[in-house]
Amino acid sequence: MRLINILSCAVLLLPAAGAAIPADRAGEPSVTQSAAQVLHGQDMQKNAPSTEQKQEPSTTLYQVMGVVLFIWIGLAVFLFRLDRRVARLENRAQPKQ
Amino acid sequence: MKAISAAVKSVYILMPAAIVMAFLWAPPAQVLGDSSRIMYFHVPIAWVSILAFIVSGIASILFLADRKGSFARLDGIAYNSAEIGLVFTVLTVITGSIWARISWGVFWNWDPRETSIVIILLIYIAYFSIQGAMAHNDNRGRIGSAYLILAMITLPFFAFLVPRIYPSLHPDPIINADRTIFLDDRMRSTLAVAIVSFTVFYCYILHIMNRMMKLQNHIEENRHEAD
Repeated sequence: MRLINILSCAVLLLPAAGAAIPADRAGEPSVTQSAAQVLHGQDMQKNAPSTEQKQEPSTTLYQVMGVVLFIWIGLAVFLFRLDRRVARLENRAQPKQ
Repeated sequence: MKAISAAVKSVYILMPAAIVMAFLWAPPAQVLGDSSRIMYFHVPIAWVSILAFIVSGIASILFLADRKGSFARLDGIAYNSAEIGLVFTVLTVITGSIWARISWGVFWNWDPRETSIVIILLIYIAYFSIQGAMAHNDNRGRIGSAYLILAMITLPFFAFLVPRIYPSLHPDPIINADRTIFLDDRMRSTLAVAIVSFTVFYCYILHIMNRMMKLQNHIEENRHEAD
């Protein structure tokens, strides 16, 4: 149950990541369009990721990263505290074993 | 045990590093743009789900092969790993659907890869139903282990074969004309760091769950002794 709680938090970060993206890539061809290009034998080199793009990341990207990092910090704190409590219980159970 | 505890705690450094690399260091893919960044979460999550199911299958094999009962808790480890695998499979579906919405315009398209992951989900949901129904059965561990082995055998078929046999819109055949994954060095290293981070994250959760299971067994044994 705890695991489900932990990972349901992780779920929250993903719509945030997805929601911010369309604004950044307006006007780009969709994957369906690129699939059509594949089927019609167009040059696939165009689909290779660009290494020369030197655009500065948009503020939305920073915001999404902030949300993802914030959620990760929450998860990490939860895991750390859980780990410590389990260790404490293990220490308490050890002399009886 | 202490070495494992220390090693898995590296996730506290690895995961933030992976997140920062995914958003700031890796370049966007030319066609998919910034939406390609979800790859650094979707692919490692999918990898962890498969890894978790394989670990549960291997633990089940060892549990059934161990006639002397020296590894009695292996069925519990298999159960915990399958539980993590199920949650990560759901996360894979969610991240994939978000990506599909951005790329294809719809959350769900019944693409071969989407269909096969739904079948994998159903197979493992059935495992938890069986385990729940046999809560007081002495053969619960053995039956569950046998089921997990069978489930693991079906994995390569649904996860790797089906999406390659039938035409799919899933990015790996689409981005690349030669049907190989083309990523530049920065994207490749970011993906590698993300995969390592999520793998360590999985190990950490499994480690905590196994320790909790051990404690629970210890408490129950003490209670029986007291009775």
